[in-house]
Amino acid sequence: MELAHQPNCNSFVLFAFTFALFSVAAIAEIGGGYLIWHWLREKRKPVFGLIGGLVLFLYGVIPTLQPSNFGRVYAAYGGYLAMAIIWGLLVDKKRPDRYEIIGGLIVILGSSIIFYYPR
Amino acid sequence: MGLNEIQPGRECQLATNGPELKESVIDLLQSLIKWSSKQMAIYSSFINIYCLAIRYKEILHSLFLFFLAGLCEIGGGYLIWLLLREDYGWIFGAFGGLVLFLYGVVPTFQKSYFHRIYAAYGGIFIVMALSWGFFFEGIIPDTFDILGTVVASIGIIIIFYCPRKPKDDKIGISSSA
Repeated sequence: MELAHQPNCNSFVLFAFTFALFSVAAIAEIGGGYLIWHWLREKRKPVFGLIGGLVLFLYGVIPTLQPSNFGRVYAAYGGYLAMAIIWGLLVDKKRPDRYEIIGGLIVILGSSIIFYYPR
Repeated sequence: MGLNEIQPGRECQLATNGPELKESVIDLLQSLIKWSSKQMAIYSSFINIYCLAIRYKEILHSLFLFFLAGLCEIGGGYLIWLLLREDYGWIFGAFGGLVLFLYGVVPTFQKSYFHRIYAAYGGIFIVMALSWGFFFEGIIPDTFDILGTVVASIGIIIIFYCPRKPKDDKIGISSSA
């Protein structure tokens, strides 16, 4: 937020900053959900659930650093959930097919229009 | 129809647990439909309707859980947002954390956890987030919010409904991989 309100802030720096925030939020969300999943579905120790809850709380903190209004930040973030395809590739070892890649790119394009179009 | 008319070399394995078993029974029935002769046409259409009903029930169940997850996620995020951006009391943040924890619990009721389904969730999420901003903050989505939502929805429809070759996975929400 501090960075975003600098009057002379370089637009590339701003883009990199917000993009990094979206990515970190996605990792925190999927990671936290994954830990709780392991606790409840894979019958791991409750400490997994506890850490998962903390990570999800952190996930709630990250979008507040974004320089826009609530609805727009969360809507744009929704598109970044398409990154779950990358998660599927890395964790489940499931290679995305052609349409998943094309569709994923279009989804990212759509949410970039929501967030990055200059007003 | 005699037993000797059964298609040779057709192997069918039934899975042992819940959703996979249901899927494999559906697959077996559908392969029987394909094989069966014209006399079976009437029965087979009944079986087909039954199979569809099972599938759609799962889809509705899954969509409901996504709606619930989106509500918890956006609601929890909004409470934390109120704490940090609008200087509301810490109790809002504490509740927000709790609701986000609930959000982590909801997907465990999903029958499966698949990245393609997750992408669909992204689409539901975008629309829900813009509605939340509209109803709770009174911010009307502008042209480019709407345009971006439409583009993102097109992407999700491509991920979801583009016809694949038969050897690839099933199209859309399916409880088997």
